[in-house]
Amino acid sequence: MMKLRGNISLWTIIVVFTVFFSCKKNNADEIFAEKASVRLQATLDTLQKKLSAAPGWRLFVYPQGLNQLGIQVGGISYYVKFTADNRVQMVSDFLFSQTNNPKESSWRLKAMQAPSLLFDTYNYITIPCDPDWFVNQSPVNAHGFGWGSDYNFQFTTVQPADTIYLKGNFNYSPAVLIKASESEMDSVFNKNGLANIMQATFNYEAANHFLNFNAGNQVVGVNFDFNLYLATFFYLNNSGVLEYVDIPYSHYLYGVRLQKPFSLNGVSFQDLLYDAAAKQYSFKHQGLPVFIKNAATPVFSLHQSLGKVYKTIQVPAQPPALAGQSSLFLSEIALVKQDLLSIYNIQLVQTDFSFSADDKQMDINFYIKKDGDEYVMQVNYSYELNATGQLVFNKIGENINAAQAATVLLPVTRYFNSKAAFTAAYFKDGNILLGQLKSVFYPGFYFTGIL
Amino acid sequence: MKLLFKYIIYVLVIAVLAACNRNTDDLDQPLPPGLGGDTWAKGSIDYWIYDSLIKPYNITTKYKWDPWEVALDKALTPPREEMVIPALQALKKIWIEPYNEVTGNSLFIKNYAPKEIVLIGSPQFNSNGTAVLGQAEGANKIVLFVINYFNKTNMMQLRQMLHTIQHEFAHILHQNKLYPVAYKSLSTGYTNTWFNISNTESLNKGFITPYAMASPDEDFVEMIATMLIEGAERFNELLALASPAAREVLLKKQAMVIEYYSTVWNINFIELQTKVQNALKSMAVTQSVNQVFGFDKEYTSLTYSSYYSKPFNLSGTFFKQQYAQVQQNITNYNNTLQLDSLSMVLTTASQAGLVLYISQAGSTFQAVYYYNYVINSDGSYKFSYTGSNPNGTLLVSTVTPLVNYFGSYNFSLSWLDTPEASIQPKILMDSQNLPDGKLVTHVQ
Repeated sequence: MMKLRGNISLWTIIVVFTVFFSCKKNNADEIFAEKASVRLQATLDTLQKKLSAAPGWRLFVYPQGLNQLGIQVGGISYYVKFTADNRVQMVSDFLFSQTNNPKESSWRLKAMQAPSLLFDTYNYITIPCDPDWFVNQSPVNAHGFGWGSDYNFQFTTVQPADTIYLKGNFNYSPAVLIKASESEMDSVFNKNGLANIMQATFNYEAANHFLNFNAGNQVVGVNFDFNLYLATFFYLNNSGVLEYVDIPYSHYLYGVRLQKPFSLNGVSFQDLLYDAAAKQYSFKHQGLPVFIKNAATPVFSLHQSLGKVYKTIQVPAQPPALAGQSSLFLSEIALVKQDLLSIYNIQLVQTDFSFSADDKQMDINFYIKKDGDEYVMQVNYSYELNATGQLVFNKIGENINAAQAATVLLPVTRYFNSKAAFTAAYFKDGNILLGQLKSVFYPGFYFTGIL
Repeated sequence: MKLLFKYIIYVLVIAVLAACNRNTDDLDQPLPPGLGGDTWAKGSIDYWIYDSLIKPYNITTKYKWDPWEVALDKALTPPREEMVIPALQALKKIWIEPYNEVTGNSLFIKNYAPKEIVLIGSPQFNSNGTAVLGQAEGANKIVLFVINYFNKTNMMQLRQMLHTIQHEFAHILHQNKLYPVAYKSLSTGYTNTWFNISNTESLNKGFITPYAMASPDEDFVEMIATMLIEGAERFNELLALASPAAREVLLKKQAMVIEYYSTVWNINFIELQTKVQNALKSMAVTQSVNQVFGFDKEYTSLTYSSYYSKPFNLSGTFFKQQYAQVQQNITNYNNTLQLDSLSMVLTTASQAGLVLYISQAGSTFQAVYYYNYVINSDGSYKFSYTGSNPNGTLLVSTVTPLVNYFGSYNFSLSWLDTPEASIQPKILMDSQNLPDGKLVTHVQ
């Protein structure tokens, strides 16, 4: 038995040695010629050189951080000039005041989860990310959010190119860097180029209320939302229903760039170019410019457009009252205003009628101020369009602020409470385009608001 | 069996050694980028930090954004570059140097100061609406927020930032050597909802600030920060405002803080407090009242409040009579109402509001009386009453003495306590031609 045991042990030694030596890796094959750390450093070095060697870059950022709150905001553009010694200058179309005064700060590249571009001290790009509402004036109307934008990004494509794609490391905002020419940077940094194009777009929209173009045999309307930086394109589908798409936009020297192309009936474009001589925007189709023209009369009715093109009818509380408001409406809203003040010491700032066509919901938002802080009292209604194009409202709820003061709000809210039908129509006051809602059951109750 | 066991051991040892035999291991691999710390082209801020904090105190300062240094789920920003050096200069002068002076050298700061200060530009907002101004982590790191709002000529903001650093440094001290356990039983009523408590309410419960009610640790460090930054005079003012029972508790806490510094750290707290106060005052820039007070200037409101007893005591008899009369009228109107304080606030270049803060059952209401104002050629202010808000209208018959007082005279403004003389600067509103009508106000 002992002999047998000895033989088994010898065989065991041979087998184990064979197995272990077979794992010996004297000359392991590497997939890449260089180690990961070497390749990563080389990538950072190449990107650093690429960014700082260019005369400058257009940087388009599309904030994503507010999506979780149900708020879509559009694009923000920057012109940035990097230097090799980690300095950066920039202007932005986020505010007019940021368009023509290049501000300097620092930047660096950092190996994080992926090679990343950090704007690492405060500049214009940080302002939409600042959590202080008094700084960012975010549509959330509260501290802690900003515009959901980013100021440090990872490179999603690390190969140096004249177009470089990025993604925000905090809010995951997609962004793109596009190399700018020397003359483009000079126009923007030294000759008010970005300010001028923003002003041109603003004037264009203000002077032309019913912008449209043809895509095949369909008329497509265009609307710019200057508060949220969204462009809306809308058209009637084959069933006669108004289709719409909101696309984030932002400015660059030559016009407006959309986050993604608008495409319909073989027409597709991502850039709207401004023709200063014609004072018109156009896009290129088959090599030729297609101008976005203005119609003298509405292309699409307001009742179709509410909640799609025009999301809000805004009624300011401060005098003078807008044209097109009935004396009954004025007396009812005055009563609300007065009671809020006398009972709750609350100041009514503005009343918004906010529509969502997707949710078939209209909210009356009473924006109020108390002791310097702003709040909203919100009353919710469902709505439908009936066969004659009337909007039929039914109350479905209210927030806690509105519930507290429900009786005080009643002079206005009661007109919408139960199967309340309203007509909707455009109302022009000089050059200003307003929207007017008129009660069908109480013809004396009608009002206008800013679209 | 023994032999077999031996064989197995031999086999395992040889196999393990053989498996480790890797002739091609390369030990001089380059480090992953950033592992030894980020690098960038150094600028004037970096050199200043090296010369002023790293070299003498071994304290580094991160002012460039590094997401791993802060909460990963909070929206925050890096600081404005132009704020970094002024903020650190103030911090060095008001926090580090007084400790050096009372201990005789820089060893105390070298030993106990956090090795890293992280500067953040914005506040960090909590979901309950409060904002974090500073954080200390494990005695190694202090994060200072709101650097973008730093303004060394605004004594209130300066005090706020330095309060934060003193607060956080005190945490590091007690994390090294705990304060007497008896301190923890001096007060009851610690609460997570301290932010719903008013200053006066917390004082009357024996806590120096509402935040001191968060926990015994916060209580202890709030005492230290308040005593150092607000100073002895203001601390005594606060003691005087507290109820007798609360005052007794606060005095015990004060004594324990002084004793803790003396026995544990061999530091004379009173001397330290004096040096901190002197350092704060030395930061002030000499400016006339009209340079700093006015619409769109450093200070826009003048406040008269029993929470600040010096203005209360030094104002003229006539003014005090008008104020007392209105206090009485309001209480007569409704005995649940109490006039707490008033502020004259410049809201535009030509409009102002006299705000009366009136409390009722724990809530505070504002009765506002509107004025137009002009600034005369001699720099004095002339207010003309124009109307009131609904609360003001409700009480208008009770407040006539004060409304008339502000609407009847020209007021020339001058420093009573300049920021150089006091960290609680005060302005004298001299109602011209009315010798005993002077009004002493706290500026905000």
